[in-house]
This record gives sequence, structure tokens and C-alpha cells, in this order.
Amino acid sequence: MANLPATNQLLFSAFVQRSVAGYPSIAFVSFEKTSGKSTAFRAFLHAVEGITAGITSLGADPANGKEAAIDGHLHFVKPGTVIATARQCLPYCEPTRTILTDTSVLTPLGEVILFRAESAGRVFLAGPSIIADAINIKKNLLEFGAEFVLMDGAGARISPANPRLSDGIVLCANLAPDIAQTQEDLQYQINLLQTRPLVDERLREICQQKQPAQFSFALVDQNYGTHLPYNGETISQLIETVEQQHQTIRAMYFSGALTDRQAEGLVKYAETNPALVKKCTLIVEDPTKLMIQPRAIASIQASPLSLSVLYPIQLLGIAVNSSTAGSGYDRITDFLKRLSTDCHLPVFDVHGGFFFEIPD
Amino acid sequence: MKFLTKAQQHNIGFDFVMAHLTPLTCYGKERKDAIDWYSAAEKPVLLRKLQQLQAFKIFFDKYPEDIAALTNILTRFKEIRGIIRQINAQVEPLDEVELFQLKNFAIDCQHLWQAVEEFQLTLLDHQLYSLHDTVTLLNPDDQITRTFAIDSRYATALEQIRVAKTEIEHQINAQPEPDKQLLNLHTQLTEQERKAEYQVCQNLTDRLRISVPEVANNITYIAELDFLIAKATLADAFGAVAPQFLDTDTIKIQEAVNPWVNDILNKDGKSFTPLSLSLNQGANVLTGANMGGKTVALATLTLNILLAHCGLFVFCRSLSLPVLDFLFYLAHDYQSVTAGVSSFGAEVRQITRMIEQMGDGRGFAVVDEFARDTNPEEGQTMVRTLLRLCEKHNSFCLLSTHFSKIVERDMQHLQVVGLRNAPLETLSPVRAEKTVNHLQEMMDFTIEAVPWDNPAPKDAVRVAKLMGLPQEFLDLIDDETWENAFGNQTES
Repeated sequence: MANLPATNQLLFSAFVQRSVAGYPSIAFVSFEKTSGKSTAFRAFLHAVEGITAGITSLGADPANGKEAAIDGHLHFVKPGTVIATARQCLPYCEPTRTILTDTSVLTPLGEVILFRAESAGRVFLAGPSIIADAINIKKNLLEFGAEFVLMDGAGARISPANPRLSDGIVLCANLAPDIAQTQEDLQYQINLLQTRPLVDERLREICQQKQPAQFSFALVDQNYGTHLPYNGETISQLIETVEQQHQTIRAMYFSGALTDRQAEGLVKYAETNPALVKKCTLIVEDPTKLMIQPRAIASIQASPLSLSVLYPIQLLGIAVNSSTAGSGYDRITDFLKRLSTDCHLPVFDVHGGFFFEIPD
Repeated sequence: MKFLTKAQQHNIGFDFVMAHLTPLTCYGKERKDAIDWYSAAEKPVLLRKLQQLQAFKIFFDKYPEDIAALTNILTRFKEIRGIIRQINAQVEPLDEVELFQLKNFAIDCQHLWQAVEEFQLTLLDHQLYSLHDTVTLLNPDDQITRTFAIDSRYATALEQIRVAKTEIEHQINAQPEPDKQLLNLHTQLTEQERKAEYQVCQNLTDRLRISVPEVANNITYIAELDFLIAKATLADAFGAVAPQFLDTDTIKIQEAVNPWVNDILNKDGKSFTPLSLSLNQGANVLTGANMGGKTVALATLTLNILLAHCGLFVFCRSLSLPVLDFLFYLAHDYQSVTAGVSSFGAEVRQITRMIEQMGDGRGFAVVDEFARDTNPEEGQTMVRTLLRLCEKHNSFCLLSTHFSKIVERDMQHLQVVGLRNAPLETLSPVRAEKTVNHLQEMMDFTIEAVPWDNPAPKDAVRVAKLMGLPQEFLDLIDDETWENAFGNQTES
């Protein structure tokens, strides 16, 4: 963030140092395309001092490989940085390098290769888009000397926020000319990513058992009995079976995604069968499995149902791209300040050079 | 596979065996995929492969730690044949990743070479070469590492460019703001560095060309060793033994098991009845009750003879046989029917092929219930004629049938004991599936040689009655058939 005022630069650097010290792997994710992920990633990388970085990208941008598109995806690295990138990106990487390992992880731009930069220079990143592959690459980066890993997200995907991959995330968003709309969108995204973790330890243990994960959903009754759709029952059919055993439903665990349609169906069912579904928690593995829009969230909140996750996401900060916001310095800074206050998170705008953090 | 369709390979349990034959390297896997029947012309190779496997199995059993060490090294080998082709093509030099991969291959070859020397493993026809020079070329440091860099020591020009580049980087870092002129200079030096690196890669590629024959040879060695370990592991897991190839006119198998069928039975809490039999040159006829396991017996024998001719150990206590030219297997997989030919028409086509093969060499032919789908009178004649024809050749034909009076004096007659000694009177007609289970429990799957004129078992009516065939049907069965099935017992 070369254009940050000196005070902001110091605050931002402190925030980055604190983040990488506390969270060894950080992903930059967004719900929308071209939201400044790479810019925020670059700012983070630039601000880190005295600690060896490992970097990769989560996916290969379709534009990658074309000369004109490469400049926007180049990241300047210091000597010692460990880089994981696709083989076809190597010719575009400037540093003198040592090849550390090949990985057998394939991307559209070839196998992911790990190398150590022996000199400074710009590197071109493309990495795995499959989360399991990304987890392996992250482990490789740490094994080959990186002390923390930064992962540049690709496209409009929040799957890199998966807590199995990232210890922390930075949410990146565009600031639209209609600031009120941005605020509304961001509030929804932040709420979703910060869905509260499950506090009932007994329920957590049940959900973590192998057997519920083998089915698309599982029901847990008031006495913590587990009910699984062994015969391919729908949720409502299984609830009725549970009811015949004079039990009500304490929780519903979804081993995959929870969609709008499922959520709205359940809300409707809960409203029409209040005797069966009282104070029931809908549980998913982590917030990236919540494929639900604001309307569905609102209807859940207004119903006897609530949402919880087994593994929460650690949202470290919000990077806002103000280059799309139009004019109005005060308008933008007011918004960023308000956002930071409302969500109790550091908010920075690399383009405008702003950094806001409400002290504890 | 030369002699079997994919469906037949599955139906006899060959796919199951192959699924448990698991080499670790891409080279070993390729060797496995090429597995096939060694013909009589390749007899010396087949015998040599089996000797090697026998000797290696002793080593395998005696030194499990050495096998673990070899296996550990083998898991590290990756596909580098594209790199070898590129070196030979002399069009583009290897890049840094390819040089890294070749270096690691050479290091792993060194580890394997040391292990083979230490374990005194001299069981393969191929020799493993030391790739010490390749390792040294790609690892200019004293200490061997698995990483690879286009080291400055490879070329003075490269070293000078990098010194200049580092100096510029220091100057850039010393500036409070990026200096465009310095950055441009840095970019120029980076371009020069790439060109110099390309030249180093070209020189290294040229120098590596001399070791290509040794690398290629080592790849063959790795494939053979990996495949050998996989074969020994398979034999160990299933207690398989070496087949004995003899100059003989009989095929003798003792306590053969079909591992696939056995696996299915075990999951159901049942076990496979081992198969022992002896086949003569010419016609051998297998008769027996329905559900008596004739088809499984044919599959088991075929599987073991096939495995023996592929150079693998066999799933039995012993198997002795001559080296055969071909395998013929005709069972009802109905593939030809779906191809638009009637089942009998498809059989005739196959039998024509079998007769041609018998004319060309000595083989093992299995025919499961030939002509069962045609007019029984003509079918019986066709089967009898086929058996007479087989008697004229030196192949081994094993034919299963329900037709009676087809075995002739010089032919071998084998029979499944079946329900011959079963106390069927203790069974009363109950639910059909339950009766099937009871019948299978009573079934004796043993195959024994019987006199040539031993009548075929006539259990069909008894079994059908026990399975609950309506009285209305049974009442209409003629007296002679009834007496054959139940003796003097009256119809009730």
C-alpha cells in the first residue's frame, strides 16, 4: 500500500504482522469477481517483514497465460519466499530460483511446482482450485520453509474460506457507487461467514461422528438420539418417524451444503408443525456450506430454527476496493469507518489508501 | 488379453486377481497392463519368469524388511520417459523442472542401486546401472539434495549476470521510492539471466544424452522389479503357489480356489469347496446337478491355467500341466446375442474357432453347456460329435453338459457329487429361496472321476418339487421320470 498515509501504513503493517503471526494460513476470498483480492493479497505480502512467506493462488484465472492479462496477476516477492505456482507460469516468474518439489497437483496451466525465490522479482501465480489439493499445497509450502502462507483467491468463490484450508480469511469486496447497497451486501456476507459455532459439545460430537457424515443429513432428537435416512427418507418423512417415537427434533445436521430451497422448506415445515420442531438448530460443517441468500437467512431468523457451524471461519479483516465507488472522499471514508465500527473488524482500502481499525 | 473377452475375464475372476496385483510405479503398472498368455513359442521366457518369481518369493518371505526398503524406494519413482524422449529429440533443452525430475530419478536410482547391491538381489534379467555421474552433474554441491537450481557455477556468464542483478536489487531496496531506471535495468538483467540459463539447460541436456541408455535400462529394471514384488505380494496374500510345467499329457490340479468366488462366499459366511481334478488329453466331460458348481469349477480351472500361462502363481495346492498354445472359453455371457446373433448361432461361431485353434496347436478348451439352447435331440448329437472331434486332437477339452449318454468309452467322465448323498427327505417344501439355501448347504461341490457310462444325475424333478412346484404340475410327470427321481415313492 504505497499510497497509504504513514500512520495508516504503520497501523496496516501492524495488522498484517499480527495476522500472519496468529494465523499461519490466510486466504483472500470474495463473493464477487474483480473485487481487489490480488491487490489486497499484494499489500499483505508487501507489508510482512522478517518472516518467510509462502504464497499460492487458489485457482487459475481463465485469462491467465495471455500476455496482456499477466501483469495484473504478478506479485513482487522478496528473496526466500516460497512460491507454489503452475508450471506454465514459471517463464513469467522473474526471481532466480531453486525448484523445491513437484506436487502431482494438476491445474489447467500444468502441475503445481514449488520453488524458492533466491532473488527478488515478480511472480505469476496459478494454483489448485480443489480444496483438498490446496490443503496439500499449503502443507508443502510450510514443509519447505514458509512460516506462513497467503493464498490469493480466484473468481467469486468462498470455498477457500474453508477452515480446513485457511486459519483466517480476508473478505474482499467492491465498493459500489450505491454505498447503501454495498453495506447491505457486506453485512449479509459478514453475517454468513461469522455464523456462530455450535456450543452444545454433545451435539458437536454426534455431528463429527463418521456415520452422520455418510448421509446427506441427520436428525438429532431431544435425547440426543441420532436418526439417519437409511431408507432414503426425506427430512419431513424422517421427522415424522421421530415423532412416532414421541420425540421432538433438537438439531438437523447437513453433511454437505444447505441451500435456499432446503432452508425455506424447513422453515415452512417448522411453522406448520410447531409441535415437532421447537428450537431446532440447523448445523453445517462450516460457513462455506451455507448456500443461502439473505431472504432465507431472514426467514430462518424469524422461525424457531437457528443456524450453527461445526467449524467457524476466522474473519481477520475486510478489504474494500473503492476504485469502483465513484467520487467522494468523505463518503467513502465515512463508510469504511462505519463498517469497521459495526463489524468490529479492521477495514482497509488498498486503492484509496485507507485503514480503519477500532481499538479494543 | 489374447483369448478372453473383457466379460469373460471378469466372469472367471481374472479381474479380481488383477485388482489385487498392485505395482507401485507407473512403469510397473504398465508392465501389469501388458500381462498376457505366453504361448508355447515363448515357453523359455515363461519358465524363466516363473523361476525368477519362485526365487524372489523365497527372498520375499525371508527378508520382509528388505522388501519394505525396496518398496519405499519404488514409491518415489515418477514418469520421466517424456524427458528421455526430449533429450533424444534434440529440439528443445530440458527446463529446470525436467532437470529437477531427472535429478530425483537419478538419486532414487542410486538408492535402489545401493539397496540391490546390499541385498545381493540378482534375480532379474536386467541390470540396474549406477547413475552417479548424472547425480553429480545435476548436483554441483558436495551434499546431495533433492532440490534443483540452475547454479551459477554452471556458467561464468550466468554468474556475472546474477552478481550484477543482486547489486541492482540492493540499490532498489536502498531507494525510498521505486526508481524506474533501476527497475528497467533489473528487468533487462532478468532477461539476460533467462537467456544464460537457457544456454546452461542446453549444455546440461547435451551432457545428459550420454546417460540415456542407462536411464532407459533402469526404467525397465524398475518395471520388472516392481512387477515382481507385486506378483510375490499377490502370491503371499492368497497363498498362491508356482505352477509346474511338465512334458505331460495330463492337467492335474489339487485344491484349487477361485479367490473371487471365495471372497463373495466369505462375505456371506460361506467358504469355497476346493477343486481337485485331473484332465486327460482329448475329451473330458463334466456332469452334475443343477446348482452343483459346474460353471464355477470351469471358471476356477480356467483362471488358474490362465494365471500359470501369464507367469503368475496359481491359487491351489498344486497345478501340473504342459505349456499350452491357446485358451478357449465358451460360457453363456450372451455378448453375442446382444450383437444380433442367436445364442446357438453365436456358439456355432465360437466352436468353429475352437476347432480351428485345435488344428493349429495344443490348448485348453472349456465349453459350458454347448447346444443347450437348441433341439435337445440334435443338441445331444452336436455335443457328442464335438467330443469325438476333441478326441482326435491333443488339446484338453473340458465340456460340461446336462445331456446324458454322450460320454464314450475312451473319454474321461467327471461328475459333481452334488445331492447324491444328501438327505433330501429331511427337506420339506418351504419358501423357494429358503429351499435354495438348504439345497446349497447340502450340495457337495466335490468333483470326482466316474465310470464313462455313469448316468447323469437326475435331481431336477426332486429339486423342483422341494422348491414348491405345484402338485398340478407334478401329477402330470410321467411314471418313468418319477421313478428315476424318487424310486418307488408314490406321487403325493
